[in-house]
Amino acid sequence: MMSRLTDQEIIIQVRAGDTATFSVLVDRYKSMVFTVAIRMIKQREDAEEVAQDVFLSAYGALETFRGDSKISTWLYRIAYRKSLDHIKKKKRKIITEFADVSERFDIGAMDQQMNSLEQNERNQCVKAAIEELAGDDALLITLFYLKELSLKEIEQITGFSSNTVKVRIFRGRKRLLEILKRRLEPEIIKAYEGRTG
Amino acid sequence: MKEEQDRKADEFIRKLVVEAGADQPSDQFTQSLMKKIGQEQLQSSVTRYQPLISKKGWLPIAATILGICFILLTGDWQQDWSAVPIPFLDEIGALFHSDRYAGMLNMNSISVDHTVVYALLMLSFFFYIQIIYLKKFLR
Repeated sequence: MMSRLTDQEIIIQVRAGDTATFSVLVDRYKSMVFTVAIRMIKQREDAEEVAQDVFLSAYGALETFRGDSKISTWLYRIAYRKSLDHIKKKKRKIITEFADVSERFDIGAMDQQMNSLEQNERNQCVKAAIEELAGDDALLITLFYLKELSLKEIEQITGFSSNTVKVRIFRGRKRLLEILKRRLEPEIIKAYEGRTG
Repeated sequence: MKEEQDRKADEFIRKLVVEAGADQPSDQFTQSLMKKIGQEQLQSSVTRYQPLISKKGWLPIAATILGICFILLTGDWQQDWSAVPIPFLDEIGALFHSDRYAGMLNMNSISVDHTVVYALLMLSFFFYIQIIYLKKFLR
């Protein structure tokens, strides 16, 4: 029953003092907030800690949420900022990688190779490849392809201009193809050996 | 040709990323978070800090300080303060001039710098305000 509430109705109830309803909002967005954090931070435990911190901050600041943007955009923005703070605190460098944009890929062949893997193996392979991307690029790819956010929404979350987002998604996609191509061959051999052995 | 290649790459990556889906936090994520929220709420209800002087309370204080500053900056403060009658001090002075206390303390010999007078006035003013608010706060 509670899970049918809209985000706005949840916010109103929580503001009125019904703390328990906040858990509905958490369940609704926890996986994506966690995904934003893990794409940036790359470490599961730290990402979970940051994701918890995101919801704690959001709960505390719910009074100030004006509703100018979607609650999801607001939460992802907090998650992005907190992830950057975490990286800064741990004194880790934000690596920016550039792909060779001139390289051509045989998408048809790659698609066939991917399809030859079990779904679980395929998903693991894709997630591992995304993890190899620089934090920002991994996040942009995820927001654009998985959440299908517009360039404007991504701009609101990250603070990058729409043009920068567009260019980085393009380069990130090329880099992801490079990584997948490199990963695919051993993955297929491993999968083949697993099935025959 | 290049556009076709880009379109295919776009579709291919979209399919893979959507299929791989989002990452999932631990099973206790929501439970542990709600516990933390509960603890924070409990803590904030036990020690709910409030400012000693409210926002509205600062208005008359600010107005008074500004007023004093204005008077100090625009008024003529070069006058001889010894000419200004302060009855209370005169009475005390007279008391000490009486035979009984003669020689103990001569109030007329005390000279106080103007800055000290202003500082004492301001101190007593804030002390007075603090007492009112402290009493209200403790009550």
